[in-house]
Amino acid sequence: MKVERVRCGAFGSLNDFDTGSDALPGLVVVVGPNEAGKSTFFEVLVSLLYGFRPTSREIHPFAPRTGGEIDIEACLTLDGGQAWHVHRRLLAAPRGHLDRNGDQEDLKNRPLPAITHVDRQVFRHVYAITLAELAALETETWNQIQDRLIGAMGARDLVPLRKAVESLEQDAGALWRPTRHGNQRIREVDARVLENLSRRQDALDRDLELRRLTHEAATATTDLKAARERREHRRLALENARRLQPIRSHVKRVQELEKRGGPPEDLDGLPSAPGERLAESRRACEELEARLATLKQDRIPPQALVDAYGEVHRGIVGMRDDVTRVVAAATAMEAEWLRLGALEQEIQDLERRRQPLARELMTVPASQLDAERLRGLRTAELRDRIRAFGRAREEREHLQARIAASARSRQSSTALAGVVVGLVGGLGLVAWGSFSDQGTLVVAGAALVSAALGVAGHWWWMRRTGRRAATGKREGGPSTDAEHREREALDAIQTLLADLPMHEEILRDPTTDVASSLVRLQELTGDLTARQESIDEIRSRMTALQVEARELGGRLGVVLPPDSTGAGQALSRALREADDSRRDAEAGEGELERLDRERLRWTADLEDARQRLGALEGSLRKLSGGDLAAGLKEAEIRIDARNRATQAMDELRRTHPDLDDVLVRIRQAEESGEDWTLDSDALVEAATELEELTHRIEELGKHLVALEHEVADLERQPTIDQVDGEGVALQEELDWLRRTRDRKVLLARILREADRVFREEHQPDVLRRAGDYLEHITGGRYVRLSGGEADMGAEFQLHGPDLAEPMTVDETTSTGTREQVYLALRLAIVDHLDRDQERLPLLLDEVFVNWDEARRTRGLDLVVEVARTRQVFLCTCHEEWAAELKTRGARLVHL
Amino acid sequence: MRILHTADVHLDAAFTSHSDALRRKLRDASRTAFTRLVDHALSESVDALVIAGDLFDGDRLSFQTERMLLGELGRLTAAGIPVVYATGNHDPGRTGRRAMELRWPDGVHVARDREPVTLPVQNAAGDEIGHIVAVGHGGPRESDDLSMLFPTPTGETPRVATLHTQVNDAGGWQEHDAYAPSQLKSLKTAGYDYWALGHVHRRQKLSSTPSIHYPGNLQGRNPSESGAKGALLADVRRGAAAAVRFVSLAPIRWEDLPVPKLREAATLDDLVHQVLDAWEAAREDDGGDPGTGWIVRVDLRGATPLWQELRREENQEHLRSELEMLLRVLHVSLRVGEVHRPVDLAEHLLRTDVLGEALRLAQSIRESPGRELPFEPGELIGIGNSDTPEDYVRDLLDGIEEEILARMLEGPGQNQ
Repeated sequence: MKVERVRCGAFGSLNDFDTGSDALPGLVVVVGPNEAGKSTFFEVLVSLLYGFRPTSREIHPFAPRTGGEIDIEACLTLDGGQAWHVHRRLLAAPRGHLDRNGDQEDLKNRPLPAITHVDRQVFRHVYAITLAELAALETETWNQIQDRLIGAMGARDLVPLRKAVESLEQDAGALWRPTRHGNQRIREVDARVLENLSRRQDALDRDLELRRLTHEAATATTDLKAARERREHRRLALENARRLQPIRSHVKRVQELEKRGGPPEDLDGLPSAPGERLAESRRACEELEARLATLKQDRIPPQALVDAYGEVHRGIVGMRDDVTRVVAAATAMEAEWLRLGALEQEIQDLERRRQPLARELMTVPASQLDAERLRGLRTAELRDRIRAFGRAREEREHLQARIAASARSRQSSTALAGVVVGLVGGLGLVAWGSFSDQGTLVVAGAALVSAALGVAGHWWWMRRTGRRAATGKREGGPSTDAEHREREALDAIQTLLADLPMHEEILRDPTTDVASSLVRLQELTGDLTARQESIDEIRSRMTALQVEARELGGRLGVVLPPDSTGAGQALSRALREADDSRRDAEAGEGELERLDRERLRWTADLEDARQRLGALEGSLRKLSGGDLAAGLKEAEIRIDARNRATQAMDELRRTHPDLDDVLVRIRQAEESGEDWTLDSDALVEAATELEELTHRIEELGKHLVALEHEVADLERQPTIDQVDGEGVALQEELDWLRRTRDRKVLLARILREADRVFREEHQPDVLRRAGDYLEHITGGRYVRLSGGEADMGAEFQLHGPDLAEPMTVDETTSTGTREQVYLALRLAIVDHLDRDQERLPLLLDEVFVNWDEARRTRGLDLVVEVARTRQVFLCTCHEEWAAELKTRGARLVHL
Repeated sequence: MRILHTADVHLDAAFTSHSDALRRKLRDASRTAFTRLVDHALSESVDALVIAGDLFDGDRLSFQTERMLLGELGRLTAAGIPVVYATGNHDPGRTGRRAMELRWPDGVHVARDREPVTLPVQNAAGDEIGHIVAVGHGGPRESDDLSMLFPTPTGETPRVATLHTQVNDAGGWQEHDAYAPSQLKSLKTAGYDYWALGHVHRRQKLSSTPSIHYPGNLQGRNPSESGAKGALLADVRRGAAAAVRFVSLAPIRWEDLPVPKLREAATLDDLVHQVLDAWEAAREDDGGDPGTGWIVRVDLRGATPLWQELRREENQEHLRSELEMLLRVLHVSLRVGEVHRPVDLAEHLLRTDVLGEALRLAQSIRESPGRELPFEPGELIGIGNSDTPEDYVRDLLDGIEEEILARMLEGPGQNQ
């Protein structure tokens, strides 16, 4: 394959770069200073052939900083002569287009179809030989270089196989290796597994021991229980002998006394001193009988009081309300009597005042007046009519007077003159007084003026009325009308008084005094009537009271005076007497009741005393077969025995607070038939055994505690399942470690085998070709290259006609020679990689820097020779080399 | 008839852990679960406790566990609740010492072998309310279908069959040895109303009518036995589906926690947050009982930028202890080993160099069973753990391409 033209729209530092329309030859010298873009140019070639990587413009290292797309294209001529045109762009996504002699193909980001025999990584690492790479030869061992050149075919991204295998074998060896030297983790875990097996056996043993100890503890517990029981038994025997026996003897004595006392029920009801009690009982009976006799005499007086309260008294008391009411009414009637007298006196007084008034007004005496008619007189209306009559008469009389006055008007001129004089004189006195500062004159003047003005006014009024009256008279009506109204008013008065026998002169000229007199007469007559009615009412009530008192007296059987007052007093007295009698009777009854209660109580007491006496005597007789005296003696003996038994028991309780427990214990011991009769030897023997038992119990207790501690300790130890869990975990770890180790071994074997296979397939051809290149470069000094065997132990060796023995390439070899060997091998690898297939371009970057002149010349010759079959891009900053190569057909491309 | 159905208690099972404290907690949890089982039987006043085999994990029954077991069963029988126990492959009735030698309390009925044991169940009034039939394993490798030995049931009261068996088609049956294998069809047609089964540790219902249930084991023993563990409370009726309710009893639960986005974790802190997210997501669906102790295994595998950090033991321990603190659990374990850096395997397979050759060779060995191995199998010290050397080598080759790349490609930590 030959790249005939390269054009970069934008790719890193190469913008609008174009190698030109003339097809590039097999040898292209890229000329430019350091960092001019030679590496970028190589990336352009890689991208054209294999596509973009990375595929995102955002992270592509050669994306234009201006934000535009990456745009590259190239014209290619394949080894078979086909002309291809490839155009690739990268913006959001990679795009590729291939024109194969007119056949269009969408490449997307795929490699060109003709170059798939060489991986992109291999092309990147193998088809570019740089100065930096040559410089690295100084620092690497040739074993590593050999691995990289032969095993990795020059690729620079691989760890040397020898190193990888050594690392794996080292790792595997750290886990396990056949010999026991050094630390081996698997053997360590193996040892732990063995140790765990031992621990498992320990756990099994512990489990057995645990079971044995638990069983032993159970046996010890049983023994302990038995020993305690035995000790208790012996302790009780000793206790019986030492402590219980005295108490038991004491109790026996008590029991004997109780036996002498006989059955307690025989003495039930007997006092502690029956003789004294017998005498006391007899005295008590006699005293009660005497009290009852006295009581009978005491009942006579109160019984008399009760009997005195008879039927009459009971009746009065039973009708207490009626009697009280009548007595109260009679008492009240005494006041009515007094009021009756007062009313009669008032009637006489009123009559005395009414009679002259009646004579004045009426034609009949007062006693004959019809009170109802008089009361029916409308006195207020009468008074109004009389006043109206008065006014009518005055009006008539006034009119008649004015008519008379008009006749006197002629005499008024004289009066007028007097007025004028009075005025002038008065005014003169006022002026004079004011002028002379004499108040008296001023006052006198003013009075004179006032008098003159008054006379003048009267004169004017008289003159005016006189004219009007005179006018009326001349007209002939007013005076007659007044008379007519006067007559009507009088008629109205007479009409009102028509029912009363009034004097005629009063009816003809009634005055307001008449009205007043009639009102007074009317009032007096009303008062008289009211008082008479009160008198009648009082007398009626007196009569009714007298009737009621008589009836009540009849019912009670009491004779009463006829008058109400006397009857009331008699009834009141009878009621008091009845109440007194009742109270006395009640007191008597109370006394009788009290006496009866005492009699009953004393009777009962007497009965009780007699019964007790009888019972006591009966009990005593019972003790002796009927003889009271003998029974009394027997009772006293028995009671004494019981008392002494009780005292003895009390003393026992005082000295032995736990007596009840002791007695229970004694009873149990007696019931169980325990021995009470240990002699001194037996006592000593029992005490010794008790001590031995106590010691044994202590020992057993300690042993049991020790066993329990031992069991607890064992239970804290890991159990079999726990140890097995560790064992399983160890086994799993062991399996995992073995697998890990085997995996590393397997991996190392695979790598070795891959290396061997690869070398077998590729190494001979590579070395042969490399030998040819090396012979050309060195001018025949070295004609063959060998080494790099599959065992990875051998290093490269040089063979030449002048060398007696092959010369090993290592760090002692000169730098130039090592670089020439390296270049020869790389050229051979490239030839090998695309042998019989499309030959891809080669990029050489400053590879001749360290070479001597002769070998550099031959090197350049070699490049020219290689370029005949494979396009070579030689990058250099040495213009002279470029110029030289140009003369040998190379195209110079300046960056 | 109400029964409490349990199985696979595996008392004194060896819990795998290097931590003695953790092993002790798990052992105690197993005992606590059994005590809770008895408590529940008493509180629910069940008519019988049914144990469908593998009560013990083996003959290594410790004295303490034995004392606990007999004490707890004694509580039941003292309350008048009978116990029916069918032996399993872990506790065979004729060769296993424990099932044979223990002094069972009166009221514990043990089916030691193929001879069916029938227990008429009575209520407090003495009326018969059902029958429980059990068949046990005489030896540890029972290969016959023991379900065929059950008598044909008669009568009108409910019938319960108890058996430790591997029912084909049961979920997870591949995880267990096929002892006493049986067919679901034959169980269904046997005429029993409830099959109380044991052996498969995953709780599951095989049939509703008749009711056929595995209760799962009582306490999970390892990360693969995750989820709530306990027993089944079943009200069994004649000719009808039983009302079955799961009762959670295990005080400790296991949780296997994968981290699906390991590739996206750029730092160990990111990884911690991913694990916390995964934990919270798991607890949203299944929060567990209050007071449950959790043992969590975090599974870290595949490509990750942290592949180097995760291979360092000190980082693993730091990560583990931090997660233990943040998750507030009893224990966290990390399963690291299959982590590698993110690489494009397909690209490197095409290389014309020793790397490409090694990758292709590894693939060839794994995918060509008859291929001659490039080494002597005797060099591999763990080869005895597999049935055949080829199986072992194939197992070793699982994911080895990534390790080849990790070893061969230049970059940080190339020698890891």
